[in-house]
Amino acid sequence: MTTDDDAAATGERRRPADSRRTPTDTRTVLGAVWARVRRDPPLLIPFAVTGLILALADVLRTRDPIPIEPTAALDQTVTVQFSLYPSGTARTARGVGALVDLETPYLLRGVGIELAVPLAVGVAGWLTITRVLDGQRRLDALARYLCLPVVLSVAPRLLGSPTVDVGLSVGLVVLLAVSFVSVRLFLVPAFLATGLGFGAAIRNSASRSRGQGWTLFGLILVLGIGSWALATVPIAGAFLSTAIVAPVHAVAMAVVLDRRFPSTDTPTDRDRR
Amino acid sequence: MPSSRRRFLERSGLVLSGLALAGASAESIVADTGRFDADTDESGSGSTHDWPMARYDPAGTGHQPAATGPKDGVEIAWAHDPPEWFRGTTSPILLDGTVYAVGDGLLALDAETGTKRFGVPGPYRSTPARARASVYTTETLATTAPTGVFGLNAGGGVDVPLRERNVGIERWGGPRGPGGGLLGPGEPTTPVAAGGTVYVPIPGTNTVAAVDPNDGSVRWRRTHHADDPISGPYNRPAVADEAVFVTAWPHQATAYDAETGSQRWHREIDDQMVLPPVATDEGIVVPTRESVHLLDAGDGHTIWKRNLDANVTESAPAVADGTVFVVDELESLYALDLATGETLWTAPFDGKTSPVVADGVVYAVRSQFELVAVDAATGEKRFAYEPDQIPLSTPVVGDGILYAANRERVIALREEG
Repeated sequence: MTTDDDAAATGERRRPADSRRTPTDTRTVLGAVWARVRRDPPLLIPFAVTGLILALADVLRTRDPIPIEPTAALDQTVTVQFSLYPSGTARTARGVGALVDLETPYLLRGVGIELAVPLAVGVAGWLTITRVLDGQRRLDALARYLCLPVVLSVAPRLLGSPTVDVGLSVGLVVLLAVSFVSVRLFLVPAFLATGLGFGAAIRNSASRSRGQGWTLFGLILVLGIGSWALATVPIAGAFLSTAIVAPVHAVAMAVVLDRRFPSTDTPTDRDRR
Repeated sequence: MPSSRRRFLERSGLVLSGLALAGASAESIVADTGRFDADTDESGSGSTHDWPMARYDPAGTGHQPAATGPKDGVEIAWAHDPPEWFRGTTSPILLDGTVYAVGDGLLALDAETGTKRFGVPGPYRSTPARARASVYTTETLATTAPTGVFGLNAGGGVDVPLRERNVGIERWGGPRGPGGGLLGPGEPTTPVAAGGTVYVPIPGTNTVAAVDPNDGSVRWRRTHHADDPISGPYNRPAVADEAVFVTAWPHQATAYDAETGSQRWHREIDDQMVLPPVATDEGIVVPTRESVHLLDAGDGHTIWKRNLDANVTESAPAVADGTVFVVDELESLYALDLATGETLWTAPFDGKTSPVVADGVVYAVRSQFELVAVDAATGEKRFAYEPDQIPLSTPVVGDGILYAANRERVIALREEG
């Protein structure tokens, strides 16, 4: 917690110790995010740069002779385009299959673009989260954090996204299950950024998200719909969704974590300053 | 300055990736993006016995000059029983010792033994067309499904555990058809590859498109009767001399510039029913329901018209050594002089067929159930073969062997005895 957070947070300060563990609502978290970003605008820089990289990757994919696929979600009426780690929504995508049997120069180019995007997203997320949490920046933590966007962006393109025709009732059950898992894993990137291993990050995320389910579910909806809506903007969509939604996601994780960490009951170095 | 901007973007991509391009500058990539090369003949390279698309060549002649087939009778050399998903109804192609058969998927077989090299299920339905893809080390097989046009990797892609299909087998999904409609999804159409471009009627539409075999992007597209539901899709195009010749119901015969898509000429043929054209040195052979026309390739005027009192609805002609081989779908197979349209001979033949010709033999499958071989010079029947299963596709001719899809199998037929 910072000393000049939003009004809601200021109100909570009257009940200092317990208030940090009290479940809050999505609006309060977003208010805290806004206050945090307003107090520290450089927080936006990593994802602004990453947004430019995503937009440039969109342009390069569109102009080169390697096949692309339009992002399917952009054809939908409304889509919750939520990513487990802070990221934007690109307007184009390229499947791993399009890279098979490419001539070497094109292969290097194609692989380079497809790796550069998740790496840039990962570095930006790690920088933003660790800056908000005022934590140590360790390279091993960065390496673990980078695994998230690299693996989660490559695996579906390699293995394909499963599509199953199911009835409404089964679909609702699946939707609930996905929502539940997303809520429980919401804080995994933040724990990875602070240096925990994968197992510990998942356990801690599941533990710390208890009692915060609706708050986190609300955040998922706001972030997912926001990312989709901004990505639909022609040309600038990838930049806007990355530069706006991704830092909000990263800071929101840190804010939620900050409120739930017993250790953060005591002021951080930055708070002291 | 688009070129400078593009160059900047190309270079930015390299900076972005942080990887140096081995042995190729950004400029070379820009210059090598697969633009149309009129001198490249898709049918003329690879093995001499290749049969790279439906009707053999971009012109649609159905005549492979280097191929030889059985002459006096056939027996099965091998029969491949494919996976359950395979439904073989369209002609296969032959590329460098591999037979590619499409039918609710793509099947690649060793031409000599019939053993499977790879097979993947998918929506693909048409005979594929081999197209050179300038950015890939393997060729692209363009095929169509009722839903659109697809580019497949002739190398088969990479087998990855946990996946039903090889990674990289489907290179791209190109222009899409409208899918379902009042009369259901459109029929798959037959693509043609020539000069580094795929020319293909888009299924379910009245549009023909020139498609980049690298990424499936559309270089140009042309539509007839855009807002008229009472019209039909384009037939298989014929490509020759940097022009694309297309026909369609009703009355349509048109020539487009192969590179730009600009219209060279357009004719309204007397007959409503117009069938697939064949491009020849003498002109464009355009069959219709009752007649055969030869149109001038330069301006579309009629050089000759021969009325056969036919009732053709599905067949396409073959052209070899100055002779047009065409059926009337009533009772005869005709050999017409290409230069004059005069009848050289007729042979008894009832039913639909799109014959192919190799080494002086015309191979015609009668209404998808019986293979008939006829001497191309005299019209004399040489042999007939009726397989156990129907339908039997039009065969392709290789080095002494015929290859055909036959419902739930692919067969190779060799000289009997």
